[in-house]
Amino acid sequence: MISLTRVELARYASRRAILLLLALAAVLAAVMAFQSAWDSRPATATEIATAKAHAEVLAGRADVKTDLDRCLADPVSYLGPGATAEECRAALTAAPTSYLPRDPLNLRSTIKGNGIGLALIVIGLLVIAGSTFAGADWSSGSIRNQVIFEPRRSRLWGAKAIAVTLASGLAALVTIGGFWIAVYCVAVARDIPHDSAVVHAVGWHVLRAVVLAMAAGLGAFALTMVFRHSMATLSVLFAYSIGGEILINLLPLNSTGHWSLGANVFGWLQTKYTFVDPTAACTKLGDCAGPQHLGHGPAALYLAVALAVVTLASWATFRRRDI
Amino acid sequence: MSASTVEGVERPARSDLVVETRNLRKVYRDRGRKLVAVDGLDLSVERGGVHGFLGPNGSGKTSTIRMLLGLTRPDAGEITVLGESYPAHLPAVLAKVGAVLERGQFAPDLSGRKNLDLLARSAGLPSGRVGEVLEQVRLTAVAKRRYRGYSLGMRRRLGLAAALLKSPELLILDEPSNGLDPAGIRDMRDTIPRLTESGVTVLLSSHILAEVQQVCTSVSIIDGGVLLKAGRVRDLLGESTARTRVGVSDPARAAGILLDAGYAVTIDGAYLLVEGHEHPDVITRQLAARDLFVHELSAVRPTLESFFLKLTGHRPAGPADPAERAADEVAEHLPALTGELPVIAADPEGTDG
Repeated sequence: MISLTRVELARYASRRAILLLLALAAVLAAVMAFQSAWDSRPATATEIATAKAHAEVLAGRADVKTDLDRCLADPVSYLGPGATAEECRAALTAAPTSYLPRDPLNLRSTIKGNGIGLALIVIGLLVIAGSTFAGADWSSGSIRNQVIFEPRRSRLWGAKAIAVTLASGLAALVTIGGFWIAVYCVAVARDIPHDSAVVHAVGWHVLRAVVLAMAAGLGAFALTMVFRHSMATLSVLFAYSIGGEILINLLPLNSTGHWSLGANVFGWLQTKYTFVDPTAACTKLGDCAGPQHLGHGPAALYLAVALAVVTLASWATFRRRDI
Repeated sequence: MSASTVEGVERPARSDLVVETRNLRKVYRDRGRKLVAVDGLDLSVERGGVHGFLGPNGSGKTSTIRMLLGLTRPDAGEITVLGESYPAHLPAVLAKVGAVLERGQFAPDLSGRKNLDLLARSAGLPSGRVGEVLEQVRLTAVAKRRYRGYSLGMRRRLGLAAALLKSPELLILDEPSNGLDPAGIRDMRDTIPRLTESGVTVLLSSHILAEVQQVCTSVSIIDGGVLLKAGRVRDLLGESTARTRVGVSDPARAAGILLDAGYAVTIDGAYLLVEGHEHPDVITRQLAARDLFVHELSAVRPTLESFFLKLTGHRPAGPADPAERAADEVAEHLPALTGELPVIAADPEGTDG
């Protein structure tokens, strides 16, 4: 089985279309790492001077002064219970940092920004690669020769599944991991906080992204082994993700937003994913359900069940079908 | 080759058979429609030599071959290959079976060598074997070229190389000459008998009947998924009742002489068609003894095509795709080389027949 898996890994790595997709993933990871660094670069002296000038102009405005005086006179009635004069100054005095053209690098906010974005892009590309891997075998007819050389179809399917899963995981680890190493190095170089809690959060995010990439690659492969055509797989995935969202919104059922593929993908990738369920009951204006939360556990269960159904159907179909 | 269900042909002992099917049946279902591709086929292929597998378009040849290779599951019947039954011993049997299928079966992005290397590794074969088979089919020089850049002839030869990788006891060739140029056809025709010298049994499916007639020692003819006739080519074509076309200055007198000698004679214009003789030299002797001298003497043997058409009632039809039309054109231009090269319509999709 190990030998057969090596053969399938070699087959995966030999496909030109797959290599192009992997190269694209690597290039996009590099571009996004550069973008994260560039968009958070330290402000120049000119930008700082301009920001200070803007802050001073604002502080000198009569209406702002009036508001500040009122707040200082009675902080509680102005800002609420427990408010202090210091909080009045903080809230109503314009700080020069508010006028800087960009925020400094923040690893936690990068997870929700470019981190999630890159993970989704890489996973999407690995879905196409996994689908291409299986689709090329069918379209070229080489699957027949493979079955003649390894007639134990379960072994052949298994070796291919392991190969595509491992390759997807490795590709995701290299690209997403590479992105975060680059961003982390920038943070260290700029002396931006990168304590162990932040590193821990980034590490878990990378791990979840890699696991999802492995599952996505495997799922795309399995689905293509059923349909025997990568375009059919991608169409079904598109219909399931986009069409499913539309269907969930159209069906006369309440609180079904957590069944959408997109919500569960975000629920797995993001920590404490919060979303507004569009199907939550709204009997009258202002009576809608509040934001919904989707944790890693339920999202993982949803995705795992979907993957299990697809892989089992694929394996069973391949074992018996005429080639 | 023989089959017990076919009149006048004895079924050999089972130990002599490399392929045996009993009551084999395959039905395809398409949108509620049933298509019976193979309908109770009893096929037997003896060990050694080249066995032709003939049938018109859609007769069930390719379906049968796919079942023999484990690519398709039969709906009923038994398959025994190299003495082992399917599907229980399929992996062990296929380790000793090579096959060239009609359609492309390699990854186009990979080189010929890489394609073979992956197949060899998947079957646990030594990597050195790849170089040997590439040499055997004379593809070493282009082995590093991508498969998509191969000519049709190169693709066929690479298919043959893949089939030879396992040093097979049984080699199944499905339309190996389809789409090849004249040189490619001749190359394949020379290669196939050579393979049998090392003890390989070849099962050859082809729609080029002259090719089959030249290289095959025995044939099975199927139509509608059932076996119509099976036997040695020589027996089927009736070598013993060969006719001779005789050109002579006085055909009427010559006919009388030969009729008196006990031969069946038909006058065909300025020629005679003579039957019932052992060898043509007896004709020349008989006529020369009466001062009639032969100016033309040629054997008129029944062809596999005429036999096939008589049996199946199918006339040759033009293949649908350009590659097969080219094969037809090649066939038409080859009689000078091969005697005759009749063609049956091929299945352009390679789905059956």
